[in-house]
This record gives sequence, structure tokens and C-alpha cells, in this order.
Amino acid sequence: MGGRVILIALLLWPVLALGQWQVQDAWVREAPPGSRMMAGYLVLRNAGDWPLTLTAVHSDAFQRVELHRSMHDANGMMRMQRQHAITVAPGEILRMRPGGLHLMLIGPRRPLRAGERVRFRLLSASGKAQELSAEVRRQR
Amino acid sequence: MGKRLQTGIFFAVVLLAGAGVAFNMLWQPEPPPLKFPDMEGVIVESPPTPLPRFSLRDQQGRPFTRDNYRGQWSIVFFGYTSCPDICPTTMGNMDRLSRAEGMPPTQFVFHTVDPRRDTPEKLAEYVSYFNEDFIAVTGDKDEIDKFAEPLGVIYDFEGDTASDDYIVTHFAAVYIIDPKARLRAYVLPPHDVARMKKVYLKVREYYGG
Repeated sequence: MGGRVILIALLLWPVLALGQWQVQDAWVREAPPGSRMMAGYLVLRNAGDWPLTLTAVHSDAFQRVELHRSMHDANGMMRMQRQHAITVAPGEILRMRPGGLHLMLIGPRRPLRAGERVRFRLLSASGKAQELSAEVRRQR
Repeated sequence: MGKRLQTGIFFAVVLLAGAGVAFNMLWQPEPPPLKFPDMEGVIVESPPTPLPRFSLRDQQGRPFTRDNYRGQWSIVFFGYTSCPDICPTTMGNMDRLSRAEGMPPTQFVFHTVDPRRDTPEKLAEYVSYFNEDFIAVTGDKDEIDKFAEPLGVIYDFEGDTASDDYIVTHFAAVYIIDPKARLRAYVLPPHDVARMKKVYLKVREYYGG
């Protein structure tokens, strides 16, 4: 009996760990014709009890995925700053949005049209991964 | 009063009125600068800054010069087609602005700062994806700079410019050009549609046209 509980707990452990990530409203902006650079957005909630550090995002649909933040300074210069790690405190929500933090999607391996879905894999500093699927949308 | 004197006065009045009309047509005094006290990042040019001479091409390969800014109000913004986040967002906002209720006829012009990748053919596809009526403009870097520099459009390439994956950091204001090809105002980001529309309509109403 005791052994069985431990076994169940061990089996459930990765599920619980994955439960720390709650992803909502993941989407990719359809690329205008000719553009090899795209952007994706999602809302990530840390439902766990310990900080979550997002370190990398992968997708087979693109040559490379990077985390970037678009920002403008007081003089109106628009720049993008690469983010190598983003930590989300327990209970906090990380919101990506156009003109702010986003997934920079470099070199789509094939044209992605509105309505299709793209798979992503989020990696955390502790080595955990979360799969998610994002819809391609024309724009918003 | 003698008839001759009456006629003389009449002609003098006509002459003065004519001179006044001519004077008014040639000389329009600059009104006090329009202010936007409740908004940040809106810069009104008073007096307006005449656009420099430049020689570029539109997405159909036709010449596009300062004269294309004469005779109508224009909204101008800068960017490049390989821009992942800001430029498509701005393009989408400009499309919504152009179709917003109460918007008078306006020429929308997208100027690229990345002529190496942005050929007229590529711009044609890109811009018509957002709005068939928008004009997209490219050309030699020197000519782009002639137009962009006086407007304060600074830009810089980041990454390997021999590859296709470099990004361009750029000044992201939206410019309002009057029908005499003069810069009247510019607006710093973020460019939400309601804010842009309010500024544009107010500038247009205040400065005539």
C-alpha cells in the first residue's frame, strides 16, 4: 500500500512539475509576404510555489527562436533587446504582446498561414520543458 | 462729392482689396503653435519644416520625390519588411487609422530604411498585404538618408548585414506632412489608433485643409 502511494507520487511528480506552467493565448502573427522574421506571443503564468526562469524556446517550424523585448526610449528610438532568461515569480504572469516582449521567430521553414498551428517547446533553467501549440493569426 | 473722386476712391478700394488678397495668398502668418497639453510625445513643428529634395522609387518602380507630398496631407512612417514585431504592428495600426470613421482622404507612405532587402517588388507584396492604397518607398541609401536625416530618423543595423537575418534599430515616430510638403508634426510611439487620429485631425483642422 505505502509502496503504491510512493509509486503514484513518483508517476505524478513530472505532471505536477509541468503544472507550474500555465500558458494562455499563444499566437503567431502571420508573416507579411516576403518576411523571414515573425513574432509570437503568449501569456505565461507561474502556478507553482517557486520562481520559474524561462531560458529558451524551440520550434521545428523555425530556424531559430529568441526572446526579445521591443522598447522605445524617451527619444523615440525603437530597439529590440534580446532576453536570455526571464524569471517569473510564483503567482506572477508574464505577458508577451506586440510592441513589447515577444518570441522572435527567425526563418520559418515553410510559409505559415493564418489558421495553422505551430508547436513550441519552452525550456526552464531547471531543465523542465513545456510543449504548447500556438495559432497563426493574420493580425490583431 | 465729385463723380471723379467717387470713381477714384472705388478703384483705390478695389486695388487695396486686391493687394490684400494677393498678400494673404503669398504670406500666411504662422499661428501660435498648436499644443497638446494632455498628450506626451506629440511634437508640433512651428513654423513647419520644408521637406528636403530627394529621389526615391515607389513599390511600382515609379519615381517618388518631394513633389509627391504636394497637394494632400500625408502620414509617413519608417520601417523595414524583415522587422518582426514593431513594423507589422504599426502597419496594422496605420491600416486601421486609414479606415477609421471620420478620417479624411490621406496619403499613407511607408519608407524603408533597409533598401538592401526591400526592393520595390518586395515592398509591393508587403504593403498590399496591409492596405492596397498605401505607398511604399525605397531607393539608394544616400537618397533615403537625404529624406530621413532632416526628420531625425536615426537607424542602425545590428547583426550580420551580409546575411538575411539582421535587424534594424530605427526611430519610430509617425510624421504628419502638410500639402505644401512640410513637416507639421510627429508622434512618438506607442502608436495607438485613437491617439494618432486625434492628433492628426487636430493638426489638420488647426493648420488648414
